[in-house]
Amino acid sequence: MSDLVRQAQAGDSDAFATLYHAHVGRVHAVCLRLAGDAHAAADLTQDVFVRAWEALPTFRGESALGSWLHRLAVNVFLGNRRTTGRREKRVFVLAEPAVMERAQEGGGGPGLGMDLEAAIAGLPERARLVFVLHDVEGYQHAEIAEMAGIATGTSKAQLFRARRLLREALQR
Amino acid sequence: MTCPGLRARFDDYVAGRLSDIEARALEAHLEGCAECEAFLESQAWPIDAVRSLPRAVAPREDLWPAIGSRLSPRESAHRRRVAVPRWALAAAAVLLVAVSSGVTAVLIRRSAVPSVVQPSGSLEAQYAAASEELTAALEKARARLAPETFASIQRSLGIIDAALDESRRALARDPVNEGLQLLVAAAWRQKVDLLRRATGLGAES
Repeated sequence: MSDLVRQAQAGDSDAFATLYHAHVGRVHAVCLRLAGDAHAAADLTQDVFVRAWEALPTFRGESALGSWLHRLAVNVFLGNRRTTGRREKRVFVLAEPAVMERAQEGGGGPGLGMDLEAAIAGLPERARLVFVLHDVEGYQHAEIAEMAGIATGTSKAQLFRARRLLREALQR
Repeated sequence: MTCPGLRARFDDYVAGRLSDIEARALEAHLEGCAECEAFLESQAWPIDAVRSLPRAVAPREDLWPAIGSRLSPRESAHRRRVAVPRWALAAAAVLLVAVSSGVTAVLIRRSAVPSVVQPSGSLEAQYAAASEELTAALEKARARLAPETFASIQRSLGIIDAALDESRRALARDPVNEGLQLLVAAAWRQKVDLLRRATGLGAES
């Protein structure tokens, strides 16, 4: 465990600020793709780091801090989702690329990358959740099912649904 | 649902045209059918594009000022934190899960005599409103709670929400089932009760 983490655990907010700047891009990326909306992602990212500050004393360094933050972001998103009881029935439309944030790292060409980000944001909520967690973030169906409170069959079906919808969107 | 059935109806599932019952049947089939899973897995999709997505995406603006203003100081001698044994908060939630899962299964299998206990919509609306209000109050009280206590409360709420979701899904499939109506009401009471107690803890410090 780094000295910076220990300092933040002891209450040093400047140390925590340094950790924030080092990890915010990765955390925000998962928040953005899960929320599918830039404003919601900003709020969610704030919630994640506030929760991280509160929970940091329990961090034992068994995993990398980035992995811990990443898992926390997913849990905060799912917790907020349950608490607010939002059940969006999103009509699948291709979201405007302008609502997506500038990527820190390029890859796959700006055109295709922005189209895919917008297409992911336009997925129905549950399909987007499973797709982001499985295909983008690398979680297994059993983990997704446990975290999201769904059956593994549902996770699998929603993943294939998401892939089909994305394929159709990108072919337009 | 059979394998041919899944493959014939998957397009409808993708488009959201299946009923809830049909969708659940398709999902349930996929849970245990490796062949259908392999069939769907074999279908082309833009995997290379996904792999090339950036791992990090910067926010449009620096969020630190807003975050920094929300950080509560670490526990000091001037502020007494309320720490409650986790079992005291989780016991009701765990009991509810243990009971509700088994009861839900029994109630689904049982042929319930149709009856109306109370319009579940109005009752749920009342509980949902109370839950929302208390959740907002808990958020305000969070700074006065020990982090581990708040984390425990959140976990317990997650457990109750999962039980509530399960009961509500079952009730949606069998809306006149009196037992399921009572189960949903009980889950809501548990949630509101936990929120009320947790909010009271924050007010005590």
